[in-house]
Amino acid sequence: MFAMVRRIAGAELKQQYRDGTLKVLGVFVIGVLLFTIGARYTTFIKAAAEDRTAARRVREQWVNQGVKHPHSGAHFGTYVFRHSFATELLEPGVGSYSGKIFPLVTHARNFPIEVPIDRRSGLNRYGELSPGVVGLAVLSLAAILLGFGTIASERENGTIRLLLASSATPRAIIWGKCLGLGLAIGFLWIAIVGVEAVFVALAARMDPSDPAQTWLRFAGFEGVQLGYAVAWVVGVVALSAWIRHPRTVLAVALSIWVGNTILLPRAAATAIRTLISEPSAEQFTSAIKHDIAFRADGTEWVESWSKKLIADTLRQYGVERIEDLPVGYAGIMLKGSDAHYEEVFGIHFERLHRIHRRQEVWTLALSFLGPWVAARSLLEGFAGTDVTHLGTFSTAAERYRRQLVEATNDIAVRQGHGTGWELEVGKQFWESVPDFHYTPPPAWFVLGDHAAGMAILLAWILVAGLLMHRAERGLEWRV
Amino acid sequence: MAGLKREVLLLVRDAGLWILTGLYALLLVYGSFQSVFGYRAAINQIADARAEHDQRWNRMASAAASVRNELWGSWKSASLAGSGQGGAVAWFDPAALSALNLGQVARENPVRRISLYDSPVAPPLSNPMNALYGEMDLGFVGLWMLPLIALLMAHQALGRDWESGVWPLVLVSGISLYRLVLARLALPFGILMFLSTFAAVNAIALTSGRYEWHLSIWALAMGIYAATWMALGAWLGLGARNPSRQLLITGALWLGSVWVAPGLIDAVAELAAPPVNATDGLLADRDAQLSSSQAGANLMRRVYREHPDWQPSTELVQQMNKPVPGGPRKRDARNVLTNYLAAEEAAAPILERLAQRRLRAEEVAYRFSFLSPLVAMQYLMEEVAGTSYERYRGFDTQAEAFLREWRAFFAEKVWRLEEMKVQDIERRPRFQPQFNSMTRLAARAALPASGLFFWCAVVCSALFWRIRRFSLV
Repeated sequence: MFAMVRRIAGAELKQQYRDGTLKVLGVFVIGVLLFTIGARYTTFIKAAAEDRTAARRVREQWVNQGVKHPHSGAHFGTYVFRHSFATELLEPGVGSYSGKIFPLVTHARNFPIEVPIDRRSGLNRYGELSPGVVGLAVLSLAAILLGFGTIASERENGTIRLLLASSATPRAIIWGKCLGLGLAIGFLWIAIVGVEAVFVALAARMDPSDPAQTWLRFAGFEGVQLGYAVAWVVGVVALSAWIRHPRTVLAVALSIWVGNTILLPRAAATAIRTLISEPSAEQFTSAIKHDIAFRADGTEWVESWSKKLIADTLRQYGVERIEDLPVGYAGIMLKGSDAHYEEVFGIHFERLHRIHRRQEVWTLALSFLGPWVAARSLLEGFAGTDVTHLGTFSTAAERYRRQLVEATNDIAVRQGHGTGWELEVGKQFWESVPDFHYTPPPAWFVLGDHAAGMAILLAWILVAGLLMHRAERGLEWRV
Repeated sequence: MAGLKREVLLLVRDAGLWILTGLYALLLVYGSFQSVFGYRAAINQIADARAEHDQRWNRMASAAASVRNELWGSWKSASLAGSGQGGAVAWFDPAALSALNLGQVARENPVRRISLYDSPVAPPLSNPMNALYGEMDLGFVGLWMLPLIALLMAHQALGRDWESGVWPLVLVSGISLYRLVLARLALPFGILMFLSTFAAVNAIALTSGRYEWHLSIWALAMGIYAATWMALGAWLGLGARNPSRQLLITGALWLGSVWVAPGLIDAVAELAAPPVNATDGLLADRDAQLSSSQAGANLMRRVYREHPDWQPSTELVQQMNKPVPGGPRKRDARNVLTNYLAAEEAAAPILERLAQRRLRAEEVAYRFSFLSPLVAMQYLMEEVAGTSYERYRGFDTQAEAFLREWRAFFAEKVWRLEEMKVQDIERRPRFQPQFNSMTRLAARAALPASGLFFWCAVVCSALFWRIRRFSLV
C-alpha cells in the first residue's frame, strides 16, 4: 500500500511539475512577496530606528526637563513606543490600525497615537495585502488550481478505471494524490518561507527581543501557513473525489475560497461591529468627565472629597492649618484625586475592553464557518501584532504611567511642606524615576492565547480528512 | 429577431443566472445596510459632538446670566472658555451621496475639536480587529463583487455553447454574432444595473435623502464598470474551449484586478512616498515645551510689539495672578498660551511634512489608478460620493482656518487679560462647513474616469475582434 501511495504521489508530483502552473504560481508568489515585503521593509527599518532614537531622546527630555514641581513633570509626561517585532514585517495585523506611540501624562489615560494605516493611501480601505495574507491566499489558491482535477480529471478521462484495475486501492489513490499535491504545495511553501526568512533575518537586527524568540515566532508563523495549506490540500482532494466533473470541483472550491477568504471575514467583522457596538467617542469622554466630576448620587465629587481629605489630613498630623503640615498637602491631594481618576478610567476602559473581547469571541466563533479568520489571527499572534500583544503592551504602558505619576506624587508628599506647591525637584529626581522597559511575551504564549484558533484550524484539517476518508469509500462506485 | 428573442428566453430559464442574481442582491442588501450604518454612525458622532459643545456653551451662558462660577473655573476666563471648558467643534459633513461609497467617512474622524491650546483628538474606540478585514459596504459590493458576478454571468451566457458543443451550430444559424452577444449580455447587464441602482437609491433614501445630479455620473460609471467586466467575461466565454482553464483565468483576472493590483499600487505609493514617522514632530514639540519659556517670551514680545494696545497694566497683571490660598501657584494665562503656541510653532514644519507625505502617497496611488479598473473606479466613486481624501483635506484646511479664527478671538482677550463678557458668548466664532465645487470634482474625477474608459475600450475592442474572428454573417 505504501509503495503504491509513493508511486502515485511521485507520478502526481511529476505531472504537477510538467504542467507549468506550479512554476507560474511560484514566480507569481515570489514576485508579489518581494514587492510587498520589500516596500514594507524600508518603512519598518526606518520606523524602528526612529522609534529607538526617539525613545532615547524622550528619556533625555524627561531627565533634563529642568527644575520644577514634580506635578508639572507629570504633566510634561513621557512617551513610550510600541515594541516592533521583526515578524511584524510579515503580518502587520491589527498593529496597522492601532497607534504606535503612547503619551503618558497625569490625569489622563490616553489612547495610543500615530496609527500606521493613516499614513498610507486609501487603497487599504478594503483590506491590506500583507505577506501573511499573500501566503495564505496563494497556498490555498494553489491547492485549488493544482488539485481540482487530481481525481475528477482521472475520472473524466477514464484513467481511474485503469488505476483501480491495477493493484491500486481507492485509499492508495486518494492518499497518493493528496501526498503528491501536498508535496507540490510544499515546494511553494518552501519558496515562501525562504523569501520571508531572508527579510525576517534582516529585520531581526531592529527587534530588541531575543533572536531565539524571533525565530520561534517565525517557525510558528510558517507552521500556521503550512497547516492552512494542508487543510486546503486535503479538502480539495476530497472534493475532487466527491464531485464528478473537474469544472464543478473548481467552481465549488473557488466559491468556498471567495466565501472563506473575502466575504466571511468582512461580513463577520462588520456585522459584529454593528451588533456589538462601542460607545461613541463623545459618549465615552462625556461619561468619564461626568464620573470624575460627580458621584453616583449626583453630588459633586471634588467638593465633599476635598473637605474630608483636608479634615482627615489635619487630624492625622495633629495640626490646625494646611500650612503647618510636615508633608506636602499637594502630594496627598494629587494622590487622592489620581486614585479617583484611575478608578473612573479603569471602569470605563474595562467596559470598552469587555465590548472588544465580546467582538473578538464572536469573530473567532465564526471561524467555524471558514478557517481564514482563525488562520489569520494565528499569524497575527505569532507576528506579535494581534489584539492580545497590543493589549499586553498597552497594559505595561499604563502600569508605567501610574508608576511615573505615583513617583511624582510621592516626592510631593515626602519632600513638600504645608500646601506643598512651592516644592521644586531637579535632574536627580527625574533620573530616579526608572525608564520604561518592556519584555514581550514569549513565543509559546501565543500557543495558549490562540488555543481556540489552533483547535479550529485543526478541526478544519480533520473535517477535510474525514471528507477524504468518506470519499475513498465511495470512489469505486462513483467511477 | 425571433432567434434573438429565443436567446433571451433561454437565458431567463438559466438557473445559474438567477443564482448569481440572488447572490448579488444579497450582497447589495448587506452592503447597503453597512453603508447606512456607517453613514449614520458618522452623523451621530457629529450630532453628539455638536450637542455636547452646545451644552457646554449653554451652561456657560446660564452661568454668565446668573453671574456664578462654573464647576472648574470662571466662565469669565477667556483661556478656559477657548479651550477645555468651552472650545468648539469642526465637522466633516458627509455629502448627500456618501452612502454610495463611504470612503474617508469610514476612515477618518468626522469631528475635530477646536481649542485655544490644544485640539484633542476623539479617542479611537473601535476595535482595530474590525478594521483588519476591510469594509463591506455598498462601495465594496460595487467595486469587488460586481466584477466577479459580471464575469461569471457573461462567461456563463456565452461559454455554455462551447461546452455543450452547439457553438458551430450557433455560428451557422444565420444570426449576427454581434447581435447574439448583445442579446445574451443585455439581460445580465440590465439585472446588474437595476439592482445596483435600486440599492443606491434606497441607501440614499435611508441616509441623506438628497438625490443630487451626480448620482447620474455614478450610474454611468457603474454601467461602464459593469460593461468592462461583462465584456471581459464574454471575451473569455467566446474562447472557452477548456471551461476549467477559462474559469481559472476568470478567477485570476478578477483576483489580480481587485486584490493584487490595489495592493501593488499601494506598495508603489509606499516606496515612492515612504510614510514619515511622527516621532520627529513629537520630539520637536517636547523640546519646544522645554525651551518654551524663552520662545514664549519672544512670541509675547512680538505680539505686544505688533499690538501695543493689548498690553495690560501692571496692576491688572498682579490682580489676575493673585495666588489662591492653599492652591497651586497661579500661572499667567498669557505665558501658558504663548508657551503652547511657541511649542506648536516649532513642531509645525515637521507636522506639515508629515501631511505632505501622506498627500504624496495618495497622489501616487491616484496617478497609478488607471492601472486597475477597480482602483480607477474606487477613486471615481469616492469623488462622486463626496468621500474622497481630497474632500477630507478640504475639511482639514477649513478646520485649520477656523482654528486660527477661534484663536484670534480668544487669544486677544488672553493677551489683554480681558474677561469674557456675556455678549462674547454669543459672538464667538462658529464653524460653517463649505465644500469643493463641482468643477473641482470634475477635474479630480477626470483621471480615474479616463482610466475606466481606457479599460472599457480595451476590453470591448478585444471582444469586438474575437466576435469578428468567429463571425460568419
